[in-house]
Amino acid sequence: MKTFTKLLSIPVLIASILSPSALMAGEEVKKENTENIRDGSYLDIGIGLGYQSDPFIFDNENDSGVDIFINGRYQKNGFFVELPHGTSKQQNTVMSFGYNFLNTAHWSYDLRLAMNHRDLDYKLSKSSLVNRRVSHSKLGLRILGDFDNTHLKFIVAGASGDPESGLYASAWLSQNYQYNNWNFYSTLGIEYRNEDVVNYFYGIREGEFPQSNESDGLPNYQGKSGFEYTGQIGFDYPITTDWVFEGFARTTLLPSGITDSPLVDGNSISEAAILVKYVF
Amino acid sequence: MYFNRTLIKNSIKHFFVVFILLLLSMKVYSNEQSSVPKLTIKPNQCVSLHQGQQCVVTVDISWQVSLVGEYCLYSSLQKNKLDCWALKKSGNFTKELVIEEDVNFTLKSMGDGVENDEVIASAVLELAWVHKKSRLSHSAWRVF
Repeated sequence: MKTFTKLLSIPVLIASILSPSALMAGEEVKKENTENIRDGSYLDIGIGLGYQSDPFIFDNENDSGVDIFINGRYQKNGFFVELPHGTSKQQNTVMSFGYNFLNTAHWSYDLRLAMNHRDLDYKLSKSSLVNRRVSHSKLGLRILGDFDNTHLKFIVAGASGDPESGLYASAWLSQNYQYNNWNFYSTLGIEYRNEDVVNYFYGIREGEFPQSNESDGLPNYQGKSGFEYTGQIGFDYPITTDWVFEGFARTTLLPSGITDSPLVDGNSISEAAILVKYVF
Repeated sequence: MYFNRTLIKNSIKHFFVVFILLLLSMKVYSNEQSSVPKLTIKPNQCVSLHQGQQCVVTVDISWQVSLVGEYCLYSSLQKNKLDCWALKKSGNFTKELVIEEDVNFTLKSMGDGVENDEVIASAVLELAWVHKKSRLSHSAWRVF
């Protein structure tokens, strides 16, 4: 809990350094009227071809092929619900709920209930044993920064963990560029998961995957905390006022605490997609 | 009696023929009235991703008038004329434009090389966008 509080204060500190006047004086805080400036709705639905390399050897989920991309958000009186299944890295949660409690000139602060890792299903090839690691929604703080073509995102949140609740933190920087009507972007992200989270998703308890006539079994594994690094590039091209052509490629480097697990046989996840989406 | 009936019948027939011809001529005349002079731009819309962004478009402009003469094409982007044509009653113009707002194109006639204020035909190139601008950009959904 102490660590959690300490980590929670990091993005707030960064935000206050980057925008001291706004936070200290509170002059830009939207209090002029009762309406929250982020209230509103957004929805886009796309279809395209996606590719994903999967380093989780016993996870049967295959994300390559035709895919549907949905990005939705609705906010009223500060309360919001999000359906983030677009092309961003933040796709670990099926749906998230939260409260946007503060907006300044460039920063937006949300309390959010979300999953911070996707569900994993491990099924050994010769065995009928399925080991499911369910990711639960946990409360966290999200800070979004918007500076014209530069976007920042910080998250400190709980996560499913073993033996206790885990800790997740991430920082993202995205930069947009325009060439004619093509919009390009590059995103860099760093994510931290503590030992409990790594153990929950990638650890192997004694007897969890036992040796049998059908299977060789898997040795015990105790993970350790680590940082994931993500780089993403992509483009958007407006075809009409409603249709957008979009594409991206992304690579995430996994920490040794994950790659050393017998459940994992790679050290990175690569994803790419091209799609057309309709913006409502 | 027979003569009178035939005469009346023929008169009615002639009246209808003349009436229909009159209607047809009026229709042709009205069509000509609406189609010339005309100024057409393709495309008539430039779409950017975000409101406030510059939009790049290559426009094909064509014009047509009924009388041969000297005509010049103008746009709201610049004071100077884009192009001029002498002894013509139609013309084409193509240009790549970078726009930040709607652009109005006008065709004006020239008398002895001097511009008349009268606008003969006009058309608007509309600037449109996918994502509306807001203080905290909701269209930056990628980073959410």
